[in-house]
Amino acid sequence: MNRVVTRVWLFLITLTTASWLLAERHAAPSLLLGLAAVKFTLVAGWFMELRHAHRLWWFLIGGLLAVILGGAALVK
Amino acid sequence: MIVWDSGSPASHLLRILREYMTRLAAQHDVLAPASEQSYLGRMNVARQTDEVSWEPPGGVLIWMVVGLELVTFGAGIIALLVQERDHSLEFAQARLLLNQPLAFINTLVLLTGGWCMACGLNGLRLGRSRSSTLWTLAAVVSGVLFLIIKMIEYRQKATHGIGFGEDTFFTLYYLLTGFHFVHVLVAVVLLGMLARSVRLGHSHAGNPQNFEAGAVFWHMCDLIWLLLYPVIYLL
Repeated sequence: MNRVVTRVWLFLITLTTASWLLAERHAAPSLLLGLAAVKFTLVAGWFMELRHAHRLWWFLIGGLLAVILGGAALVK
Repeated sequence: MIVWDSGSPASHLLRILREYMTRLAAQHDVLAPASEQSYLGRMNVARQTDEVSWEPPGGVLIWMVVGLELVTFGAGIIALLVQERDHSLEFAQARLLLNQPLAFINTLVLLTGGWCMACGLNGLRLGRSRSSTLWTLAAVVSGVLFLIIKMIEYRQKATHGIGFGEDTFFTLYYLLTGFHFVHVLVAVVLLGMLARSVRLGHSHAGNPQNFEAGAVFWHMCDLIWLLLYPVIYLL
């Protein structure tokens, strides 16, 4: 078992629970989308090991995330 | 056995040939230690030699798939939110019919599967085949659990008479979650094959590329769900 990956997983679980509880309290959509962006970054960086890859891949995947969630926040 | 004098032209030629072969083998990972053949190992070597490595984990091809899938699902998410702007009341009523606790549990299940797969890959790189197989099988179990919970959710909708063409929200809901469902199904089959490959010794610390690519595909299912979950269930 990898300790760093385990810590990231626990943090992901915490963030998911937080986003559900915040949604129950009718939190702002931008906050919920922001939490989704953090979780996305953690999975891409630590589970998919993008943090070891060339920056180009971070820019590409991060750019796609920004377009999707930024677009969603604008439309919402 | 032929013995050449160390100063002879033949021994000089042999030394040059040996150096050339060693360099060639290192370039193609033939003689590199097992750990150096994994993605992390190759990145470490690239850093030490100041080489610029453009290769992402699992290879370029799988990341092209990830990019295309994100574009496809991203377009679906934006389409859902654009429709919601025009039918806000209808969408708000439709969301009340969704089973939010099940979606929340499913998110936890999928993230746990991602963690299991990351541990499986770590085990493979350390040469612990048994541990790697067990972690990968745990990821398979989490995938199957996700699919079962999703089917329970679909069945609840069907019981209430909510079908594919019910309204705009549910058409997009079935399209996006159904398409994701198919991805998880494919990933479960893929992980099953990877677990078998590790158990049979085909995937190991010296040959982890297929495993790395399979793990990226599995995590891609996580990424897509992390975008779908708030947009469909929480907003």
